[in-house]
Amino acid sequence: MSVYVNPFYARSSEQMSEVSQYVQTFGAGALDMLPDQVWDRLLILRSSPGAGKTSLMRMFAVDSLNWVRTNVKTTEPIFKELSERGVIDANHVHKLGVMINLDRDYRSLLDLPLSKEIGDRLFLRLLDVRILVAMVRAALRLTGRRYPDDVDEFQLLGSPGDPYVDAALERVGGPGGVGILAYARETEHEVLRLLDALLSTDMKGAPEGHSELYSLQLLSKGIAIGSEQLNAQALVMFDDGHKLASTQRALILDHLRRRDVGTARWYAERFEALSDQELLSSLGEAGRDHVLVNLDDVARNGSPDSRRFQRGRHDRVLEDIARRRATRQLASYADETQDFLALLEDDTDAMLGDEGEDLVQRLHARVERLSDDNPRYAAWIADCRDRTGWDAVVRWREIEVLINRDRNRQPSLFEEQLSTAEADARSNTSIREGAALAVAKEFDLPYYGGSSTVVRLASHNVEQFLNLCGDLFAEMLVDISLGRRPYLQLRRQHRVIRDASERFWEAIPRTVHHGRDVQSLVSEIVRIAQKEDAKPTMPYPPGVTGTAILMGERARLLQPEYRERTPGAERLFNALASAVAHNIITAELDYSVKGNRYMVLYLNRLLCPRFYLPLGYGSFRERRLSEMIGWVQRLPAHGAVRPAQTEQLPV
Amino acid sequence: MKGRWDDYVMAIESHDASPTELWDAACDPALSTLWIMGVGFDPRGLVGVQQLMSVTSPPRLEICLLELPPPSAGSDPATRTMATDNAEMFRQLTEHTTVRSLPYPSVHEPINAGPQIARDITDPSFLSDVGHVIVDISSLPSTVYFPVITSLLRAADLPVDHPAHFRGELQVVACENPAIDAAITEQGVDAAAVVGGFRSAFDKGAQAAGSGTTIWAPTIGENCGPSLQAIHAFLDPDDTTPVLPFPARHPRRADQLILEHQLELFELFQVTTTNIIYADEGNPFDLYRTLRRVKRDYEHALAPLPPTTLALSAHSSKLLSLGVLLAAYEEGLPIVAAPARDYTIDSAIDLDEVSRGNRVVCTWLAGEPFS
Repeated sequence: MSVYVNPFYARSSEQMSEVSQYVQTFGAGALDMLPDQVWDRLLILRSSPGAGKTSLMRMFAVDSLNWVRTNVKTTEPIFKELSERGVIDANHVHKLGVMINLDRDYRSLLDLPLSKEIGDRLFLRLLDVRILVAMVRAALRLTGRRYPDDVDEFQLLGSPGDPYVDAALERVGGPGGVGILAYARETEHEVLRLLDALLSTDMKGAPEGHSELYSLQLLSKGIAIGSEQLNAQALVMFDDGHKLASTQRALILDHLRRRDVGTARWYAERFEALSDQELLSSLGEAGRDHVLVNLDDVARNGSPDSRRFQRGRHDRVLEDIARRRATRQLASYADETQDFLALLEDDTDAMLGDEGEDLVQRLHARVERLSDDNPRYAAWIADCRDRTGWDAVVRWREIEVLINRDRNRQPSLFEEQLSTAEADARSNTSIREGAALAVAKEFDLPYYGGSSTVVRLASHNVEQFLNLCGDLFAEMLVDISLGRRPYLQLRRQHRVIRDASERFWEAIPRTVHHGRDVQSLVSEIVRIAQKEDAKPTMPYPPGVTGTAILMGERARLLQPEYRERTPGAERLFNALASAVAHNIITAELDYSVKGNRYMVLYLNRLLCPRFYLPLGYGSFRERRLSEMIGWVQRLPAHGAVRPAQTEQLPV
Repeated sequence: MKGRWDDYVMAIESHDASPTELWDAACDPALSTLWIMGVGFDPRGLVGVQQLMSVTSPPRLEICLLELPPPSAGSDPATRTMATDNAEMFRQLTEHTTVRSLPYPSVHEPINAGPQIARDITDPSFLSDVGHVIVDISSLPSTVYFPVITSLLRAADLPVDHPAHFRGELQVVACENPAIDAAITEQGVDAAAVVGGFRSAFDKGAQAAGSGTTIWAPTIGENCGPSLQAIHAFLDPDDTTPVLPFPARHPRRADQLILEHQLELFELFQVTTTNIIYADEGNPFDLYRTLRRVKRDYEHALAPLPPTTLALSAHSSKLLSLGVLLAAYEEGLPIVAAPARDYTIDSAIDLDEVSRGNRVVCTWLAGEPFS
């Protein structure tokens, strides 16, 4: 009903049906997340949901590439990146990219009363026809033809007399577009007839399937439109591989890994921490036979070569996306020339509001009491007295932690006065972040706000980032409606972010399988975090936001026999798998600490505001598997609803 | 064009009317009456069959119990208790009645369970001596009762000499209570799919032969935000025309639904207010007629473009879901659903009090009135 469009809410690449809209809001830097060798071997893309797999692949689809090539002025950074990779140049598109979604119908084939062999063959046939039809459509579009009107101009090129090619062509309807389309329609019709059968009498006669993926071999021989051969390598991008059954996944990967296929092939799937997904030994040698790209890992830590995509660059990609999304609307709705993220107040002194001096005095008094006039801390206290505003508040709290820590140390024979340099040496940014959060929590001050915080809350996840920006933009629209500048004060940002965090938490049981158990897991991690954070010495600054189990115990949890004989283990397994699959918890495998290897489980950063937890990574407390099983065996979690915060807007 | 159910037969429980009259009228004493139902947590699940057995138990009554998947271990304990209590009540109620149980099939895709159950039910041997089928949808998920009713309609529409032809009477019963619908929340909704039996209406070569315009008409109910979002992501429609219940028992229900779903409808899906459709909450045939008209209007308006698909989804009461089903069946429209893994029912409501609003409704879909 709003007359204003929120540019962040049309969020997934699937929903941005306009190619121009999609390309113009794409962050060019994301292309560098891909390695160089992606055309001659299988590329496996893996990430949590919403991390940008589909968006990244869609950039290589023919429509996107063609739009970039013909609109260089608007898309210059993307054009440059793609040119460097040899994907396009000013005159041509060199990759004929098509996307094949593995979500539709394939898994359902296993529910038909067919033998595994027949089911597998039907699976390959359905894939073959969908790949070929997508390629027909893409080739016609690239050359300015209409689909399906000009389908007769499409031709698969083969080596004349090659018995394999002849046989393969026969299996897909022949080399011409008309035959391919007719064969595809027949296949779709036959498969759908079986999948849709509601009467037992309709379940007769399964169509004959394919023993291999003929399409990949045939496409590598080349394509002609009319009398002209296309000078573009076919690229087939399979999306949502996690929707396949494990046997289907193994089958398709087995076909895709073959080095003798000249068609480029990418395969994207969701990261699953509790599966044997990482066991790719059957696919041959990593690097030579396939390349695995963990997008979450690249986003967090940079690309493995540390050159193409450096650590921290993902934050800039997100900032770029936010800028591209909102610029047009901000200009047209409010004549605003500043970037969206620059309209989020970042002034830390604003956190204090009118209570600044009072808080400084209260913290001052507390530290004075703690120091008990001990001259050892006199310089530290003097240093604090010289500060003002938010800086003073955080410093007082920081010194309070340092004094508590100092008191826990073995006293030396001669207790000397500690210098401010010593305070700085004993402190670090983590302690300061923890101190700031502790003050905000204790005195109910706005804490979560500012552009860098919004980027951190994304947990390196594009979709989550866009959702949060959408919430903040909706708040800006209130100002715009009232004729005011859309500049969000910290307090309003804090409220919007805490509300978003609350909604994220509340949605878990409704949108996640085993959601109540997932909430139990999260609650227990939060309980550990809050217990540690309450300690006066702040032992794990800026605070605990995760837990971990030994990799050995993870391996045990993966064993069906173990889960069967251990009450509660199956429930923990399901909850953990679901939490990771839905990006509620992020899992880092093989994390090394003191000679042990762990699977570390961090809370999604967007959950942190609800529980007043820090946004920094790094601190976790490990737990035994048996203890974690106990977490889900207790009564299912009930999410207490935080009362909605309201505020009076000056109108 | 006149619709098959433009002249409809329906009985709504009230002080001077009862669905039992329709049951009596359809019953053939020489053949069995088969009451198809599920028993889950829903407090309305047993109301219909209790009424049937207390007032006018047919001479050859058989119950077909569609077993539902067990709730997950981590589901709401109160809801699980209600399911257990209902199962025990059902056992007592049917102690002296023939019960045929159909186990819930083991499937890779939850959406395929319904078609498998439908095939079992319409197997010629299963219906050989049945002359009257009543499907009680009060406690069944739509992904099950949509395929089941569709398969029975198809069986009834087959030529008489077809081995799977069903020659009897088909009625559908629902215990209607919008207050209970509003108290139920779906859990674990994360993906959408086309309901079994309606795939060809959706795909019709969309992937193999090109796609056209997709219009989505969701029938809006309470607590359906996650389902709406999942289906929208699945369909990626070109336009959305939400259906709201009006007239309704609670006159402001449509307004409340708009308030509840304003983020989804107006921000995420960009619905324009002129696209909103209203349908009588208590009459499935009103929605059936409206959806047929919407389909014809869109086809007419978008005739120069590639084929238009009007996709439906049901998130409201059982009766309106039935309207969705009838329009989909007659017009060959796809129905999309986002199946839930578990359910919870608001523990704050007084079930005894709310249950006073229960109303058993019976519709007669195939057989004598249409011959």
